[in-house]
Amino acid sequence: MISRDKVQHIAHLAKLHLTDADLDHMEKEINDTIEMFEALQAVDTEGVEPTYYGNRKRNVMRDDKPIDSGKKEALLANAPDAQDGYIRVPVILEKEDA
Amino acid sequence: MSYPTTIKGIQAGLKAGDFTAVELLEGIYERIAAVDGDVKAFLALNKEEALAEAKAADERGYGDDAPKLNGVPVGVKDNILTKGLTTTASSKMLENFVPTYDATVVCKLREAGAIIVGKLNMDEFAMGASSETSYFQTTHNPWDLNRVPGGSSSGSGAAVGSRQVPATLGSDTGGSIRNPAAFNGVVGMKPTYGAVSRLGAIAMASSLDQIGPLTITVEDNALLLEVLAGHDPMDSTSFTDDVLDTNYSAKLGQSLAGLKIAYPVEYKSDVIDPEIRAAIDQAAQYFEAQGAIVEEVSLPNTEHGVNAYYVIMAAESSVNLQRFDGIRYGYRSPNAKDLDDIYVMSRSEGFGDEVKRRIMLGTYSLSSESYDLYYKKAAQVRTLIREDFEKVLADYDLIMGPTTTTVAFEIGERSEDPIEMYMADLLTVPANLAGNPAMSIPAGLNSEGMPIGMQLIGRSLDEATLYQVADNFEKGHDFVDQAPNL
Repeated sequence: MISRDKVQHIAHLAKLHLTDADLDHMEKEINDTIEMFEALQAVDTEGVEPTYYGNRKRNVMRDDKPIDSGKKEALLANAPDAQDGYIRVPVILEKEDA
Repeated sequence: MSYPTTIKGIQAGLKAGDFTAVELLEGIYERIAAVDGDVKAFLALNKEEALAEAKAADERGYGDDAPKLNGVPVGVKDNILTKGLTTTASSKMLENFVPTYDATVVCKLREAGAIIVGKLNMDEFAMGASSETSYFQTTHNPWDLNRVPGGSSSGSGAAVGSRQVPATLGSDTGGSIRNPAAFNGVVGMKPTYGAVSRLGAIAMASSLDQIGPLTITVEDNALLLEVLAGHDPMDSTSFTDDVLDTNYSAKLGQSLAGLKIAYPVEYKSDVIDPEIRAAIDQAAQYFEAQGAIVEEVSLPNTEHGVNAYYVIMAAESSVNLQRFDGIRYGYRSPNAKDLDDIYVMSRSEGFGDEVKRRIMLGTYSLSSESYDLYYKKAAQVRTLIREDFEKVLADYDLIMGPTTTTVAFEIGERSEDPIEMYMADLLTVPANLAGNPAMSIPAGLNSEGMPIGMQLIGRSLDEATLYQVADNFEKGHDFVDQAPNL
């Protein structure tokens, strides 16, 4: 059972804002689902290796090299706000007072 | 004029010169105009570009050197990127998103001469089993417009079920191709994980997601998968071509004599509707009459599948959906004043309830205090489920059972209860957790006239045997000729 404060904290971590009405049903639904998950604890998994990959392949690395997609305009057209070839966002760091 | 509804029929007609791809496509858009107001399978039509492509297909002609699907119209689920054509994942978050490239599967379709008819409705970010979580519209089941079409590839199932297009692409993370295939009375294949490239599929749970075809007939399905499958250097989880045999039609027409089919006792449980159980029992008798050996086996960890699936799926989804931050693309809240506002308000306003619920669950199960308790535990249970399949499939050629526990339910009936909706995935999630290929084929209609789906699960990379068995079953029955009255 997780508390309403805990649900609020998870929302904070997930960058979601929940209204009081959202919290009411989210608290219930999350607890119902976690209760359902509890059944997993009854399974004996002593010494069982976890499966994290779909076809048991391991992670594959590549060089971190920039590639010019040649699609700057089309990509910027999908940005919510763009100007002069850049994505625009609100001010992040306010000027400090002298 | 009326046109053939299957790919094979269309190909024969094009080759014989009975009609052109342009005429066929115009007929398809007329059919969509006539019935899709009721079914609501399509979110967007690609009419102008498609007609130009059909003209190009006609110019290439239909000789033996023509590409494999030349002139064949295909619909695409709206979480698969189509260059220049809006791709929304049925979310407000991506309402205006226009991809700058085609998904690998879409490239392959185009190279094969297929024509992209339009984009199909789905549950938001593929989270749901009814299309009711779509931000835009609810798709209706063509067999009974008051019922859901299944999901999350809801439009992909309903568009083929209502004979609007001969084939569609869907994606399947926990049953999202097989569930709507069953509910709409069509053929749907979730290929072996890694058989089909995921590049350009909007990721939900990356270790489970797989793109696959939905069609009216089994042979059409095999043909389409032959085009879709193959190694993609841009998807490191795709199998290399030395491992992958994409000749999926190879065994069509071969006898079933001596094939060993496992029918798990867990797939006969009383949580499954009695009429569905009876239809699958009859199918088992049919296979025996064809000379196959059908035996009862056990997959003891079946009951843990849904729980392990929901933990893993939610965890991976919560991570994948972190990319929707309101900065680079997608919805940005007009009320955001600073950087944190952009993240929080854009995500809170842009995602629907079911998506938020799964992000919340996933964030919780990945948190340091519950990681071992839930995420790692679920990953261990996943190993046990995989081993269940390996043990049975060491002795048997394939596994049979129902696809769903019920036929299509009424719109609104389960949308208030997420856990009841999750149980719709009971029989389909194990194949995703294990990575094995699994398909749903029509197995008749129930007493209310609603389609019943049979699921066939195969050995890893052995889709060919599933198609062999499914094709034999299809040809031994008249289910393909049954279509909804629309």
